[in-house]
Amino acid sequence: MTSEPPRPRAPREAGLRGGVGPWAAAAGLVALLTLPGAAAPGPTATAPQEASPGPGRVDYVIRARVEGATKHLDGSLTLRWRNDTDRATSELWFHLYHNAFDNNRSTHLEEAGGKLRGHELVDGWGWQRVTAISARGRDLLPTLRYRSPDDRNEQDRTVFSVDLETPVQPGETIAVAIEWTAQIPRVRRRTGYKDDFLLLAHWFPKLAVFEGERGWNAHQFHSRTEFFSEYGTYDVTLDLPAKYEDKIGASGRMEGAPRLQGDRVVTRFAAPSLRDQQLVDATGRSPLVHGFAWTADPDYVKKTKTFHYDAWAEQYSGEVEFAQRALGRDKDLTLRNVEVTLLIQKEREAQWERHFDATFSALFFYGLWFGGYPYEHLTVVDPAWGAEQAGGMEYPTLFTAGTRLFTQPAMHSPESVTVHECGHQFWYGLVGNNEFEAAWLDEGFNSYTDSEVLFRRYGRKHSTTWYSGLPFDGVEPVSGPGGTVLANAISAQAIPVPWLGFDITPLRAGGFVDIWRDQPQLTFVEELTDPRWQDRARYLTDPDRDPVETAGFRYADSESYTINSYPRPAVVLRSLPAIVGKEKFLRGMRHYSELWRYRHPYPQDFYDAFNEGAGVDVSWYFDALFRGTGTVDWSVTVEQQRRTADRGFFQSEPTGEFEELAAEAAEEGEGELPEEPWEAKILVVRRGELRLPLTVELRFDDGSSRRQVWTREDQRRSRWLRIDHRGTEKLVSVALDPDRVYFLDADMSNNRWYDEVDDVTPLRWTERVFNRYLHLLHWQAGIGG
Amino acid sequence: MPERRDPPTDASGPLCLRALNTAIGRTPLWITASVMTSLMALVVALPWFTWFHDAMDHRYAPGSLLVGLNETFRYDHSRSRAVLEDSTRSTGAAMAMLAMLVGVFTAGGWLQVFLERTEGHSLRRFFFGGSRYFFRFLRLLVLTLLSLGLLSFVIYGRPWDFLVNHLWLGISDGDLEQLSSELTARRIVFLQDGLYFAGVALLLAWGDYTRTRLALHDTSSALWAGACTWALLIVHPIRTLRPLVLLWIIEAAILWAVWQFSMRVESRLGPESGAAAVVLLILLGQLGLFWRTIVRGARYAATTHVSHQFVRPSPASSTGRAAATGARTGG
Repeated sequence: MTSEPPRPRAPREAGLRGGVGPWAAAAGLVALLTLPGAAAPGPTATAPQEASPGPGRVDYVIRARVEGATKHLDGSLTLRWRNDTDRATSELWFHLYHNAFDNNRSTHLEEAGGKLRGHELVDGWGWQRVTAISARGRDLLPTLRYRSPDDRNEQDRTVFSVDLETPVQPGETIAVAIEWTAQIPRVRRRTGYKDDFLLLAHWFPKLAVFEGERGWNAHQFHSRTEFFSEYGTYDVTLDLPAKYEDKIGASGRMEGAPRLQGDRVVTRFAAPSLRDQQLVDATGRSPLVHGFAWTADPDYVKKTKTFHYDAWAEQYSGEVEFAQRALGRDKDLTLRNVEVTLLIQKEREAQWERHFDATFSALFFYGLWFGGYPYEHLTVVDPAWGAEQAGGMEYPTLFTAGTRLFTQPAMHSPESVTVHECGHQFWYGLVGNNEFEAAWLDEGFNSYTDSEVLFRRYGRKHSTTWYSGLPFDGVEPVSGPGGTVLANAISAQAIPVPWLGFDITPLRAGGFVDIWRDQPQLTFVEELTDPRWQDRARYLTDPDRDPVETAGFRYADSESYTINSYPRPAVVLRSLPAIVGKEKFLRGMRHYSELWRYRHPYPQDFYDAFNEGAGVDVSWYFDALFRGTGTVDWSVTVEQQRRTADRGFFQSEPTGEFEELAAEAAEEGEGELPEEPWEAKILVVRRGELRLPLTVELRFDDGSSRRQVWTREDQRRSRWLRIDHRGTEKLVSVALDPDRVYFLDADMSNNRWYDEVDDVTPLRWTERVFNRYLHLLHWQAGIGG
Repeated sequence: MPERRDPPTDASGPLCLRALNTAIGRTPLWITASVMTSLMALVVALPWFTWFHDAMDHRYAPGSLLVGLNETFRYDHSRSRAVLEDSTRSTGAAMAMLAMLVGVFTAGGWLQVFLERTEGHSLRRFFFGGSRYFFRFLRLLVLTLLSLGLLSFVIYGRPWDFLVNHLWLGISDGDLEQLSSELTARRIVFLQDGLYFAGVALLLAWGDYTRTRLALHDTSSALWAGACTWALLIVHPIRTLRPLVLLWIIEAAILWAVWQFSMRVESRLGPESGAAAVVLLILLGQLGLFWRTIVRGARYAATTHVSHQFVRPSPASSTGRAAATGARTGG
């Protein structure tokens, strides 16, 4: 393993390095007090080995009451935090994520321009306020200070700290009691309510992560970042209005039956479940989680189904065989059964099977490749209408998908979001990277994996066109008339009337009218997309502005964040097997995921673990593609012709006389010259900074072919490669990267050469354009008469 | 193909079928009208042949993109394609405007032929009628566009927002997500789009009857003719609209049949397919257009027949004189 370079450091406020602070006392009590009323978190874990999960462990016991009408929340919690680092600390830092929605001056909303997922916030605000906090018998509330370590925004209240009289020493555990009150926000981004629908995530004062020498890692809640917290357990009791009875879902598992108390229902959850806390997973560790989310909606339809590994292994025996071969015959790849609960809106109930299928797909493939999902239960949530902003998000052992009426499986909706969010149970849930500073370690890894799963299970995605909320398979081959003010005016779509201050729109878009106008069944074309190649297209929209290895809130803008966190790492990973081979790739990824389960890796940890697991050192690849901004564009050009026949005078042996060869040949061949061999000049050029070994394949008209590799070393010496061919066989094609193992090439249209030119395909697609406008113009003529 | 004589006006059978029969019999007319549309579409489509030819060049295996344009092709050529798309949209807009004017012209042609009950040389009468009524029908086109704009405003603008969203649904800013059910939201959209569809269809029917009235009366006031036509539609909605609705249904059925054929051809496309399959698709497209043009003509045959029952031609008009004398015009 290489020596570990310094990890990227988050900006810290001066003087708060997290070690022993100004409140360190010379002598003091180190007694741990358990506050009255806090229940023990279930049976004691009896795992034979409990490897240190990382910088610490925190166990929560939480009780919360939500008022139905006001959406007001009162809560109390006790947490027990164990400092597993080698540094003491005299502070505790916490997150109050919901304060991102308290006003429009929070860092989150300032960065988002006052809008969340397209909605400008003018109401539905939310906030959290700590009303009491104590530890070791002392009231810590007077020491509470809000912190803004990233941007010094004094209006931002998403991070606070308290000071301890005596530090928490390495290995020591401290219990903290907190009471808080909150106004649940209208759901605009991930968490909140809409009518009676509730989805609460990061909803309690949450301890940040203490990283020893690095101090407290407690970033503010930015618009482009997600979350980072410590692993542990949760024991949560929810007190809700009775209308939510049996309509509550949460991380972990419900323990015991709900208790009706008048017009209230009280439900207890444990995450991981109490049973799981007594077990060890396949890596020999006791399952832990790093968060707790819950949801409730009287309109939920609850469905339950169990994932069984055997059925999937039989269907995908080839995948199992490959994984077995790559990971070793003695590796047990069997996955545990997982009970999955789906909470789906009644009007979308018809899609329930599809949600289960997508979830099981993710559980199978992710588990097969990276290690099994270790918990006995998983909850899938379909948010209510009008609360879609809560969809597409992951929490430990619970995730939100999101769908709409009238979708079809070929559209990969909700399959795509379901696979992706279930996938986050692995990348981020089990391997808990710091989403503030290295979001790509989960988003990018998950984007890579979910595309692989989607393609294997569902094939290519069908593009659709929506009319009045109804999907039609296919897309228009070319856009209709318009696009500029003048074009819109003369085609009668939007005629500006300056003196009136508005446009007249005689032929505006309008659902069913558009169906008749477009005749989609006659004029549209089928468009299929392989999700793996779609990652490439997305990556190339912004391939070189920021390195992937950048903190989430430090990218140039949200587009750079999205590209570098999602598709770019995905294509980098997908291209890695071209360097190391598929089996080594899987070994490297598996080793990393098992080594860092329930821990907090940073990028270098991944590089080291992958190299170790794969048994190769591809640090150069990681440096170039995760730390650099290099791109590559290979191209090939070919010139081919028959070698010109020998003409002119040639000296003959042994006389040395010059004789005209062509005349002699003509005499011999009755006026015809013998057929000359083919000559081809092939020029391969590399543009961009990346140097990756490239295979070049030549095919000939006699059916033969040959390959050669343009090595990295050769590419270091020259940006081009010339291949000359001469022979009786004619070159019919040249292909760069013939097996399409790289997903990085900026332009693949110049990667192939074919001797034959296709005249039919241009005619075919021109026919589509012609046909489209045939019907469009007929419709337009009908307006005139 | 020699033109058939129009069937007698008192012939039995549904009017829509008789009107179709009449229009089919006017072969030169619907072929001419279809050719006009095809030429305009060709202007838009031709640059794409060059573009595809250049984009593919020697770079793609023959036939590999025949069935579908894959993701890498779509991305790699997205920029140049976007440029061509912009150009196409502008050209398409010009053709759309031209198409509306051609529609104005052909409407005059159809009405001239049907009102005269021309025997032979109908193409000549068609062009005569097209130019004769052109400016009157052009004014009516302006009126139609204004009416469509008003309809669009009512259905998708502030009236809908106030009456439906605010008063009935109790939501603000037209935000259907404030509703508690997606199905309810979808139904609202269906209602809105459905009303718009019905309104557009009604306006187009009104336009056909107004043009017929203008031709019957040989008058020039599109406004007055339009007002009278509204009165006719209100007083006799079934007899006026039923044949047009039935013709629309027939047109949709024909298009469905063309679609079925096209689907079969498309499903057989493969890397080895030759130009014949593409030519067949072109022919199927033309077939669809022919039928739609025939239906367009049939609409005027129907409106002519219905209008004869309710609209007394002005004695001063040529059709009035022809009706009075029972004479038929000829070439």
